[in-house]
Order: sequence, then structure tokens, then C-alpha cells
Amino acid sequence: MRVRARWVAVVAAVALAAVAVPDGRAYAYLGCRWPDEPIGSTKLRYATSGDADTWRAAGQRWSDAGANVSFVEDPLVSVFTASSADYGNVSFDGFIQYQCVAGFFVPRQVEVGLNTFYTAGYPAGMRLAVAGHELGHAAGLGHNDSSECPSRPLMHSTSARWVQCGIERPTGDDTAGTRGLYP
Amino acid sequence: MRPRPIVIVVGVAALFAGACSEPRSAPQVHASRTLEYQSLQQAARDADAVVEISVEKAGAVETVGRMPFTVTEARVVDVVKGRYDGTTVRLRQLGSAQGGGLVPEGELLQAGKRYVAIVVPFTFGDFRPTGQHVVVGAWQGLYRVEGDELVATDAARTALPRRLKRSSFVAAIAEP
Repeated sequence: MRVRARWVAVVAAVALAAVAVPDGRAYAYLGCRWPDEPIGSTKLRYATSGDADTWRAAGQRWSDAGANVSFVEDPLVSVFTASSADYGNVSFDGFIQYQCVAGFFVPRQVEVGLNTFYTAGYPAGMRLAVAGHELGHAAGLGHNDSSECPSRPLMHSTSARWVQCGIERPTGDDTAGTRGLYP
Repeated sequence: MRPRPIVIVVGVAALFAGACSEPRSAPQVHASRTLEYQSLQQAARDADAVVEISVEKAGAVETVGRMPFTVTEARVVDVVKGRYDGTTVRLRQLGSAQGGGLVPEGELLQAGKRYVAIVVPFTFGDFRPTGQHVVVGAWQGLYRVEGDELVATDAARTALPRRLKRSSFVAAIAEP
């Protein structure tokens, strides 16, 4: 039974990857997602260690965007961690570290983070953009460098999304991506 | 001799356990970059030095929280631009080849290979010297030497060249 379920998951993941992008939207996937919840939109519960207000505000923007996925701070039953720490001048301001099995994230083996070496000095909107970008990864989205301003997505791979375009919340491309993952 | 029932039960259970257990992928890391350089000259302008290095042994892993970094000591064989005092450089890179922490966007320094690295001193937020360096622009500032050519180690498609002659690289990082 478990073997059959695994094959169903693999076939579903392949089919999902092959689905045509609706209404011309562009997005990319990490190749890993969370299982569907039985009823309603997918709620991703997370615990924070640092910058809780930023993560909360960034999560709210995903919820407000009609992304079919929302982020709920809940340390008791969290499936991932949202953290912040000083990693030094290593040229990245955010990250996701995760494990994936058969196309699904492994609960509690997923962490998104802010590198405070940079983000501590960022304006609030720019810091929110990094946090929102990392939450997009936590939902299963990959980097998407396909568009120029003003339609550049939050999942653009660099902080030029904010510096050049002022993007600090999920755009149509981003929410089309999450709706594709969690229809 | 017929096998005892208990042996059969344990054997079948072990078979099922093996079939049902999913191999876990190694942990992966995706990093979001602070910026993307549009030219080699721009990258070199932000650096203290551009050095050619020879890697003789694999690096050691240091972690910050759960995040792995690999610090590799390499011999400096040429200072291509800028000033670098010392015969070795300790280069810090995101990710680890040991036990996971794979970074699909870049390449960790490999023993037996040569690289050209556009570097700055590595520091945490307290700005105290660490004795380590990092390349600028994540993996944009690291090229692998292949004969008289340099090959980008950055897996991402950026504005910087993927492959170029060493002489073209030197010309590109020269000040106008």
C-alpha cells in the first residue's frame, strides 16, 4: 500500500511539473511541497527564532494575496522554522535549508532564515521582501528571474526585486505558483 | 531443516521495512543573493583582490546554527589584481559536501583544481577580522581554471560570462 502511495505521489509530482502555466503566469518550483490539508487552504505552521514580527508580517502578505497558502505562527505543531542570525558578508541575505522525500518536505527539517548581517540594516520593506521571498520557498516555489520591473516577482533571486522594483509582497506570478501547488 | 516461523516473520517484516522506507535526500540549501553583478569589472571593483589559487586538500565544515559553511585553505599562485599579502587564502563558501547542505547554485572548491577568485575579507557583523575570505556576488566571483580558459562556477544564469580566455578576464577586470 505504501509503495503504491509512493508511486501515486511520484506520478502526481511529475504531472504537476508538466502542468501548463495558467494565464501566462511565470513561476518555478523547488520540486518539493507540503501535503494537502483535508479541508480548505493549506496552513503552514512555523516557529520563529528571531525577527518574529518580520516573519509574521511577511506571512500575512501571503495570506492577503490569495495564494491558497497561509502561514501561521504555532511553535507547538510547527512544520518549519523561520529564523534570523548573523552569517556574515557571504553575499546572501536569506536562505532555505530543507529535506525532501518523494516530492514532499520533511516536517521540522525545513528552515528559512534571514542573514542579519545585511537585513538588520535594510529598510523595513526590503527586509519584508526577503522574508516573504523565503516563505515562498517554504511553500515550494523556486527562483523566478523571468520578468523585469514592474512585474518582477517576489521570487526573483536577488534583492534587486526591492532595490530596483520596490517589490515587497507576492505578485500575480508568485500566487499563481502557489495556487498551482495547492489548488 | 525447515526455518522457524519466527525467522520467517522477522524476515518478511525486514523486507517490508526496506521496501517502505524512503531514501531521504541530502539537505539542500537555496540562498537568495543580495545582488547580481552585471560585469566582471563591477565585481572586481568591489573586491580587495583577485587571486588565482590552487586547492590541495578538501575544506573543513563550520556551522552557524544549522547552516553549513566549508572553509578551504588554498595556495595563492598569482595575484591577478589588487593587493594580497600571504601565500595562502582561507575561502569560506556556503554549503557542505559532507552529510548534506548541498547548494545547487554553486561549486565548492575541489582538491586538485585551480580557481580564480574575486575576494573580500570575511567578517561577521562585529567586523572583527576572521582570517577568512569570501568571493563577491555569491558564486559569481569564482571561476575554475581549465587550461587557458576560466569557467564560471555559478550555476545561475547571470550577466557574467560562462567561459572566457584568461587574457579576456584580465582585460575585463582592468580599470578603464
